[in-house]
Amino acid sequence: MVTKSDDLVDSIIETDFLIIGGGLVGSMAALRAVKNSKNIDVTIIDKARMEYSGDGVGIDNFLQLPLHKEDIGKDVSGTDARKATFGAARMKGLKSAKLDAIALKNAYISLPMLEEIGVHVREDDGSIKVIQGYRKGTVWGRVEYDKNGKPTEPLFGTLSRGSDLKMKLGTAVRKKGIRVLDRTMLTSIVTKDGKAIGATALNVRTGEFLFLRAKVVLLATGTMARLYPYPWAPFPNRLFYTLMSPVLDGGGHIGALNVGAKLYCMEMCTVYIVSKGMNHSSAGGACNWFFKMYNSKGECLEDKYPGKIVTKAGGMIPGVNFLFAPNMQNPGVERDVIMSAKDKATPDEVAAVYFVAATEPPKALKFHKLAGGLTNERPAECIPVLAGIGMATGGVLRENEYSETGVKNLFAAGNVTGSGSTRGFTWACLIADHVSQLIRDQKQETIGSDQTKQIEETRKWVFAPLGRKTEYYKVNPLELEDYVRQVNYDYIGIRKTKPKLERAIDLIRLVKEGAVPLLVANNAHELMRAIEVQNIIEISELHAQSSLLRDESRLIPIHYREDYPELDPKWDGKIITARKVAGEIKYDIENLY
Amino acid sequence: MYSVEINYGPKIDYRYCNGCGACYENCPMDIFGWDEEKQMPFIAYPGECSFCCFCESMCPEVAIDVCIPLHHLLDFGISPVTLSKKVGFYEEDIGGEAGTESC
Repeated sequence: MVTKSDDLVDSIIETDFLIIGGGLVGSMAALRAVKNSKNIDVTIIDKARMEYSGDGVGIDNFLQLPLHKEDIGKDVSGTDARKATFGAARMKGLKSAKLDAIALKNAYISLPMLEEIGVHVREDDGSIKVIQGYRKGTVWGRVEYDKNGKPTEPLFGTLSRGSDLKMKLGTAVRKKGIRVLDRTMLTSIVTKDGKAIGATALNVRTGEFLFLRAKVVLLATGTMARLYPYPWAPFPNRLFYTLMSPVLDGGGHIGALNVGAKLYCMEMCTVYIVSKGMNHSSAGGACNWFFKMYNSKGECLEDKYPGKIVTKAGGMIPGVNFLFAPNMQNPGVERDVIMSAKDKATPDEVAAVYFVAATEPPKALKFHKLAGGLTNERPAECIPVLAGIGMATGGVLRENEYSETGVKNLFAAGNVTGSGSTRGFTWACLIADHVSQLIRDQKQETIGSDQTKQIEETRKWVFAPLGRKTEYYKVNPLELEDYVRQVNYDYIGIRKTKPKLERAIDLIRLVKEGAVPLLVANNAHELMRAIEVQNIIEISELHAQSSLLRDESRLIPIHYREDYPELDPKWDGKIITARKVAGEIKYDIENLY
Repeated sequence: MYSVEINYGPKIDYRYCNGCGACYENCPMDIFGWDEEKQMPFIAYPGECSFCCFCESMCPEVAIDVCIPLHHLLDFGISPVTLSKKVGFYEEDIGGEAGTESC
């Protein structure tokens, strides 16, 4: 057998623990695994360069922790207090309380690791203080302390200054001698009897096709960020300017789906309200988190809709803004221009924007430098942005308390599971701990004819567009991606209706049958784009079909059906899952475990 | 395409580039190519730039300027006219030569 798979791939790499994606989660899991056991062989593959890839580069507010350490042991996931918050109440039935409780109990697990690599977590007196944080259910503010010096908001404090976090993690990974394959993209996960035994990958520079044999695989591929066009992306290219890292195309989601893992909540697209003109960095975007929003009549939306608008959502789903929710019932507001006016901001809020701008990626600094600092006094207009799948909810379904997917030995953590940030770190550590135990009694699986066939088919699929000869028409991967994302915007988007969703499905089908077979790439880089667009098309279809199935509105604007505008109790605790059975995608409505 | 070139993505000033390859090695979108003959980077896929500006910030010779598209400047409230003046002033200030690609 080995001879056969040798012929199919340019090289075979054997490893114990294969990590797909070298972002925050991937790097953390690798470090934790080698810390647990010196003998473990860990390999990370990353489509870009590990130190500069993923959503975590330059990200701020990277840790959201219970500020009262004594709260850690408590199961707070189901408390009335949490449910009472605006966001969490509508989150009902979409998050696994069981997994969230585990994550919360282990919230501090990654801190020693971070401190070890020089991330500044504690103050000089040893306490975990925050410079900024979220106040419950309202606008951002500095965390307030009571007379005993305890923060008044016990949960979800934010540690700041994360801009060099990814660099520190990356450097630590290299120092530990962990094998990192940069510019290597996942093309398929290889399974044997329902168990993950490795992955195939493509080097997007050299075109080398690799087979990575592994005892355990961790999927840490992040958000699916390229589902919709960015509303004010630059001419002529609208593809790679996104709110999240444009490297992320959902390859991990599709890789898992193809081997039988379930995806869930694919109808739920993350929606941000971003300040136009200031959004070019997340610092700019943060303006409308920090500043209250006004309409053009000068009315403060928070005051006008008390309890309904949180300028920065607290609770379980960071990054989702509920400005749109009351708008859905108040079309007058929606037709108005929504502004985040700097002149009405408190000094604290202005300071927060400055602070975030100073700790964000170089892009932010450049914009602010060109603009002469944040001197621009005009109000920034706020516009919704569809940021893709994975930041709030939706992605690869984790089916047990070890964060394992439906495929044995295939674990998933971070935004690919719809739960990133601190929880990503926590799960990275928990998985690494579990894996360290798991691989002790495991041997490398042998490769049978089924696996060889699987690799052969993947190879054929991967290289099909390379130098493809077509009779008449050639399809440029970027042009196709632009089309598909526009279809999503026009026919799925924020306001979903049955006829539009059906139209989207028709168009996506046409794309799959009529355009994908004519994709052409001339080198490995273009091949990467050709594979990516196929992943994007697959996810678009899942997104449309799941949206059609869920005949209610939940977490508006994340899933808003204009024809079913209300939350329907029959959907409480229900998730839509998608899995591949004999090449066909099967959708199920399941109870959340 | 219209005859006026669109200002877009990184511009390498080859007067200063020392061919260290940091931009080529680290670009998340992999838009740089490598000229084996000259041992210098070049911009292979300018249209795929996501304006992260990592190349600009890590270039040890300060030889890269990421040109910000017109949309972004205007949305950000930056007048391109002011910007040209600023860039001109900057070049004068450091004694640089006029006529290099600037945006």
